[in-house]
Amino acid sequence: MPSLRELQTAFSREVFDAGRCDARGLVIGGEFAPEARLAIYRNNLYISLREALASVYPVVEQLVGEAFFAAAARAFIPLHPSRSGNLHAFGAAFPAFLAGWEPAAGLPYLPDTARVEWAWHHAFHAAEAPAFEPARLAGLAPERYGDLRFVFHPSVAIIASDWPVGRIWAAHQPDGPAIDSLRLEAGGESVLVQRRGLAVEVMGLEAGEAAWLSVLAAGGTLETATGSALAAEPGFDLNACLQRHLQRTTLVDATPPGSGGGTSPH
Amino acid sequence: MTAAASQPTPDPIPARAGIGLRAPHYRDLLERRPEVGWLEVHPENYFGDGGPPLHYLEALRGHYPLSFHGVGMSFGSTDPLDTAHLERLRSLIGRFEPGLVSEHLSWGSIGGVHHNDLLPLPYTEEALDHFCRRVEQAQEFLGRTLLVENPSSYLRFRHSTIPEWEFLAEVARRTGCGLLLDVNNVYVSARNHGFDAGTYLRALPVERVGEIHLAGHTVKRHPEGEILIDDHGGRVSDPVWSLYAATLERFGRRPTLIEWDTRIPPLATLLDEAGRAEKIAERHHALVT
Repeated sequence: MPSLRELQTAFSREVFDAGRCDARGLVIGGEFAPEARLAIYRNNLYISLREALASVYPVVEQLVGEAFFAAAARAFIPLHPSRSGNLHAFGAAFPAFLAGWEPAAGLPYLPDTARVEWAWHHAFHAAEAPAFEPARLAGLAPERYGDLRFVFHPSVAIIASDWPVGRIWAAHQPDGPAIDSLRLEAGGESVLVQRRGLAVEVMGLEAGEAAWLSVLAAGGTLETATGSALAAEPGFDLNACLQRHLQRTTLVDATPPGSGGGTSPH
Repeated sequence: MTAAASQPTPDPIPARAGIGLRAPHYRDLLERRPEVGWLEVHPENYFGDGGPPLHYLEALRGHYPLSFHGVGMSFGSTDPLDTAHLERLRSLIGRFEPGLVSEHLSWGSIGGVHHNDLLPLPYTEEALDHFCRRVEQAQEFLGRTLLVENPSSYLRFRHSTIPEWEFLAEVARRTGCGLLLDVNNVYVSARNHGFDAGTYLRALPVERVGEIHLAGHTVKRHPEGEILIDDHGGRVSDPVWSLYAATLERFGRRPTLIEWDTRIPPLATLLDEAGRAEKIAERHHALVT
């Protein structure tokens, strides 16, 4: 008689992998063979986890179609199974999986599109944070502003891509622009993913703004970030960019020099 | 069971029909605030740090009594008890003060890999000891009595020695937990395994049943025969409504949930099913008084 642990190990192996037969000997047959009964649990496992993936990656599913997506999910699930009793973290490895999955090799924009969708999922469930308090900078001499580091809203992610991922994402939203306006050869794009209130936004960034946010997100100072932004886009307007990201709560706090770094976004 | 006296008193769940709260209905419920006894959620869907799910649950909590029906605790699993999961659950309980908190007689993970499913246990003395220990640990940690739900299943293990109904009654006796009687699950398992649903109901202690679940299932026909799949994807079937009436005769009126998790219909359909459950309960009440 197997121990409870032996039974659970055998059951899980045969349910994950149709090629195995670890558990069928432990199961009562009757009208249906033991392997047919175990197959119901296999079916439930792969369908429910595929649906969980599809709910996080609806644009990827639209891009490749239902059958191709199902095949990707079938390959992904046993390699990166759920590790928790709740499904929030399930599917985090899907973008990296797609980047290395041979059948998707002809769709090089797919992994970055998936990264945008994972960032969307993260933003949807992220904590709220109060807006920036200008009083935080009271008493700081203006000549030291360059040493400031910023704290991002917990929902923020910045994704740089060689593909127009923001436009690909937008074209596959229910109210998005027509797909025929999408040109892959238009080049790469960086996007900001962020929740404001209850709505998650995916916004394309100008070159200077993208460089500026990326440096700040990596914990760099305002001065370093601005240097990078000007190198990427000579006409970069620091004042407008700073105001915009304070106003839209991309940045929610600043840490004055000497008080340690800010916290990086997701 | 030592329920912590310092805990805030939650709104009790009335002995009426309630519905499962699902994301597509958040706004509709808030705007229309239909007459329904209570709402139930899977707490795992609210394990995030913020955003719309918690926002809407907070808003709706002000209008309806709330019940928590866990699906991820995996009490039957031989992996270590997931204390991070329990902590998250405890903090949500503190915030939303649900009237009832329930989990399943099942397991779901092994070696850290989760099936995110309610998998059947072998009904052995070893499994009984293990399951009871886990329920006791969780009740102690959460500071409240849990309800444990009877599962639906598609297979039984050869070395099981205890009928499921006796196993469940023994869990209640040993741990002091309550029971969540899923009438659809009794029906589905009775059909799939050829036992008598009446035997199941008669084995359960009347005073321990704190909640009833009703849901739809699908009949799958194969050359070998039929198997019932508990997919929570449709209306409650007629035989399950009949079994519900028999359940009321034995257990009296209890909080009764309409569960619907896949192919989620418009809110009106759920409310219609809840209305039907109320009517059956009222008719039963009229007969016995």
